Amino acid sequence: MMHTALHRALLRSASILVPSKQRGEWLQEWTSELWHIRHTRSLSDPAITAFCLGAMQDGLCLRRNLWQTHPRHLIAKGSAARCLLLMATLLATSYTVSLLSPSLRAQHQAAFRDFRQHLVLIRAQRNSDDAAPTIDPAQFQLWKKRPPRFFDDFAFYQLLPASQGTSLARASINLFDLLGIKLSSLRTEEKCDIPVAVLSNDLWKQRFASDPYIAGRVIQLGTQRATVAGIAPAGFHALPGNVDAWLLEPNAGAFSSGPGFLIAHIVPSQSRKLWKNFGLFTSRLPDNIVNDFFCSSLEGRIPRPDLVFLFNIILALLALPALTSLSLGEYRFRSARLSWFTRLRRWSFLTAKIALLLPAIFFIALDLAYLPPALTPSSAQSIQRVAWFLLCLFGFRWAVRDQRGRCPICLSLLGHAARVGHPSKSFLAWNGTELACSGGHGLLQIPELPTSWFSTQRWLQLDASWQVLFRGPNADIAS
Amino acid sequence: MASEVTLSHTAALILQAISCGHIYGFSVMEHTGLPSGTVYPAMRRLERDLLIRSQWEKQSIADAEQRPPRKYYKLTPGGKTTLQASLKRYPLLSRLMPSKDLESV
Repeated sequence: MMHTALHRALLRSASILVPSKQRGEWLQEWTSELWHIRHTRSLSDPAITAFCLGAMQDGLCLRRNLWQTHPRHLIAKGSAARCLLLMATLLATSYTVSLLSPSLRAQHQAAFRDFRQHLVLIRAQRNSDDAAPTIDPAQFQLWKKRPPRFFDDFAFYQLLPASQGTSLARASINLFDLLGIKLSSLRTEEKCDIPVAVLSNDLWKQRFASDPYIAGRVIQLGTQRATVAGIAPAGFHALPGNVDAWLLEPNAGAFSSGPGFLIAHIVPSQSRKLWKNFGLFTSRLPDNIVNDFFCSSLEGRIPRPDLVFLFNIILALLALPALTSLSLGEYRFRSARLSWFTRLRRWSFLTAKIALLLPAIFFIALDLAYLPPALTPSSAQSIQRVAWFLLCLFGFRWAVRDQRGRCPICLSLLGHAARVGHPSKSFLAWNGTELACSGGHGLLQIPELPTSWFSTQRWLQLDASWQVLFRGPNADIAS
Repeated sequence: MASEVTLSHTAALILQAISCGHIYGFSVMEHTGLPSGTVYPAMRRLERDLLIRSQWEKQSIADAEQRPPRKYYKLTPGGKTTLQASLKRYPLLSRLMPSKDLESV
């Protein structure tokens, strides 16, 4: 009994390999042969099991035969499979290029991933620009000693006058610790009275040619000399001020009297209460006057490429009707209604095209923006956004037009264009272009001049009797 | 076209076995000593190349003998021509498995 079940299971498993059209007959032949073998040998004879195992090879052989005859059809010019294959290749290529470029790799390492949670930028004036400093160093010193109940740690930095094109800031020594950012090649020991500096990734690349041994060296930053303590991670643009280098100041009382930026860490248990009040809280100024302060999340300041890309997709979709009609060929004048399976396949094909197109656009724009080494981060970002929008717009246009130019039944591109009729003075006679499906499924008639009675393209479905005319020379051999 | 087909030794052996009257898969296996994983795929290829053709036995015959119907294989005219060419190419084949025609001669 066990042997019988094993033999049947082997044949059933092997039948999975057999193309579905041949499976029934194939299984019948093998089952019949098995019956005859069983009547000539004992059930436990290993030769019977060996015979059943041979069915696997037979099944594989039939499957291989199918693949030998069908790839020509699958990757035929203009076929849906070829289109998807090309799209997948485009996606793979653009992704591989983005992986190979070191500047792009650095871009992928978004700085906010390393950020601590519950970090805010505190401003003293509600409507002030985020990029404008509003907090006095005295306020920072006061809160360092007596923090308001919402916060447990603060860091402060002050912009220094830019010199020789380098934007400098004096920052409290705990700034990067508070942000939770690990600096590459961090060295904190000071050389005498020379301050330590943290360089931005862009400055390190542009001025110091990504020198890996820069940590510990004394460099000239404008008029200021500083020992390099480390390099900020790539894509670190969350702090306002576009600072190229931070001079770390161990003494909180050493800041000048001008306003600066204050970063604070919210006590997690107080977070909900603070945001319930829209980030507004009241505290005393150093001169004992009560003042309102406003918090904005630091995480919210970091550009999210996925959200920007989504925004560009929406913009492109809104602009698409200006470039092409959104109709996909679901026209009123159809000679036959397509089956639900055919319609589902058409929509699945369109969905698959767009699903491959969008990530490909994402990576192509990144490649375009970040591969040229001479570009500054801000210009690269601008190129990336413009490329996203344009590629999305023209990509959608292509997807829709390509869909319209395909046979709704076999999804292959229509061809053999023929001009039909002559322009009519009264506009009553039809003239336009007729495209044919090479599989003989039908004709697509596109009017030259849309009229009230023939405004959109029409799909004229041909019945099966026509298909004999469209058979290629190979079709006869196959049959 | 079929006469131009050059068969491997295994395919020629199977063709010869069918020609000798071993007209179903298991019988070909027994007389050639080849495993099922070789015989059946080879027969599929021979059938694809129009050298043999298969036919299901009539259900009434199988019912009368209380067994499932079998699938029988026969040489096509093209198959016969190819076999003749293969016998010239592999002379030992006819000694290994003498065909009915040769026996009758």
